[in-house]
Amino acid sequence: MTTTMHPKAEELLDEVAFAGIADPFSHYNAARELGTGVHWVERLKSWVVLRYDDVSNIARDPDNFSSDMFWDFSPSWHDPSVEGHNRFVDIISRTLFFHDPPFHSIIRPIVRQGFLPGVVGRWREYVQFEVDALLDKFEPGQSIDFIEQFAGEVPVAVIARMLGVPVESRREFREWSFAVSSTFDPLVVGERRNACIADGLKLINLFEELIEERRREPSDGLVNLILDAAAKSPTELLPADLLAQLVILLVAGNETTSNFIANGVSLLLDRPEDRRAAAEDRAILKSTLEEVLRFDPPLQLTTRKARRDVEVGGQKILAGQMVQIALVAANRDPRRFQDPDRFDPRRQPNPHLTFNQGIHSCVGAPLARLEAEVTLRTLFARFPELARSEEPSVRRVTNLFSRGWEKLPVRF
Amino acid sequence: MSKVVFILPNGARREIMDLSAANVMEIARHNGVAEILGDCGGSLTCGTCHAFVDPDWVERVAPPSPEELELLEGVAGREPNSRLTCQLALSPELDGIIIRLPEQQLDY
Repeated sequence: MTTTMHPKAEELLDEVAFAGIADPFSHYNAARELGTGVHWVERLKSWVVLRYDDVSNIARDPDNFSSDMFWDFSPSWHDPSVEGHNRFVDIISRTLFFHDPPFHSIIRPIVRQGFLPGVVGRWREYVQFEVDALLDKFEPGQSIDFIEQFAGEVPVAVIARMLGVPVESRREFREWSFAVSSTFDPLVVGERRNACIADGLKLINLFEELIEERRREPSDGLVNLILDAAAKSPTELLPADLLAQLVILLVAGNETTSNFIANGVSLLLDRPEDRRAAAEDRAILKSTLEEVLRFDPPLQLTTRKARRDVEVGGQKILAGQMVQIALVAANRDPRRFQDPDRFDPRRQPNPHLTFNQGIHSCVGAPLARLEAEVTLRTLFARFPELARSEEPSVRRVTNLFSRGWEKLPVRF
Repeated sequence: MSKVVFILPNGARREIMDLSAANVMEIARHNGVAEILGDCGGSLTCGTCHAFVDPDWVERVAPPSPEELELLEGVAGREPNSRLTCQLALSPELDGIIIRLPEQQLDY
């Protein structure tokens, strides 16, 4: 299928995907407004859907748009002749990301234990403890790379504590988690992909040991919450199915939350008034964080596969074709948001799609919000002089799905 | 007619009419009622659109499904009149329904 209603739109989206654009928003905005806002991108072998209502409708329509597409795109790319590769893709293929009901409906109620809105507060002390411990390492006036030395550490430290992973394993834990998320990236190929899969296998093995340990010696952490929920499930799960969900909880919550925190700090470092207001008033901090999520979503696109011929925004999509839904573009759709390119910490309403909608909406969203709130509040209270260093910050532009940071130099 | 009366945690009253909304969660989310998050967009997945139906209205809304009841177990500050507002479809019968918003959607 090579239908392109707007060659210009395909060119813009191709550039975002393959040319490394530091600021992709103007490209997404322009492509969203061309034609139907639904464009085929040949090199992605996918449709890209950009308008709010279309993105929201697809996300909430698992009958027409399947998530059972692991074997259709980059996360499944591997070399079966290399030892361990088959095991790696077998485990990752079992994660709830890549399944529809009925399997998804069995897994999701198990995985959500520990993250539900009324129980996520149990981790608050953990988050506060880890944020304080990380900040204890820094002195006023000290310069660091905020992403490498702090924002990248927070979610790893929190989830490691929730899981009971020893402190000395956290560095590897972070590296291996990053390796797994890198295997989702279509630009990671060849030797680099092999290295990522090798590290991903180490993470899988670590989780396998952790599960065994928690079965022998239960604790009040996340692993046992999930094991207990699985034991009560009407459908018995295979050990590999449980293992897969634990691995993906770490991977999904790690880099995204780091980037959420870093995006928030970066936006507020340039806006002293907004920063002061957020530091002084919890309600404003909360609405500021929702605006950070809307304005610069850590996960930019998510993927579906059309189950049957279907029309989106007037554009026909054929059964079996891949569809990227652009949360990032929907979040700036003027049909839904007034003055969408303005960062407005008091924005109301703010029905952003950053956590996605539908049965695959982010299961860890309450934890991500908790981590960001505690982190920013503590950071601004303890280091009121926090500022950018003279060295410029650099966005990471190599991963189409996850917009991250190469470096974000700051001075405490 | 699709009017919903929200009672904010501070006691303030906010009446919203929105003919494009299908349910109470949507009317809140699209009109800046910050106490309702509604992350999953009404797919009965996230449990972040919890609120309390005014006692005078409880009998008039359809009872919760087993799936809703399961998610209600995980909301913050559950009471007998707790509901997920995405499951309260707007209809002429519910015009003017009174919904009390929780102090917090997430328990921290």
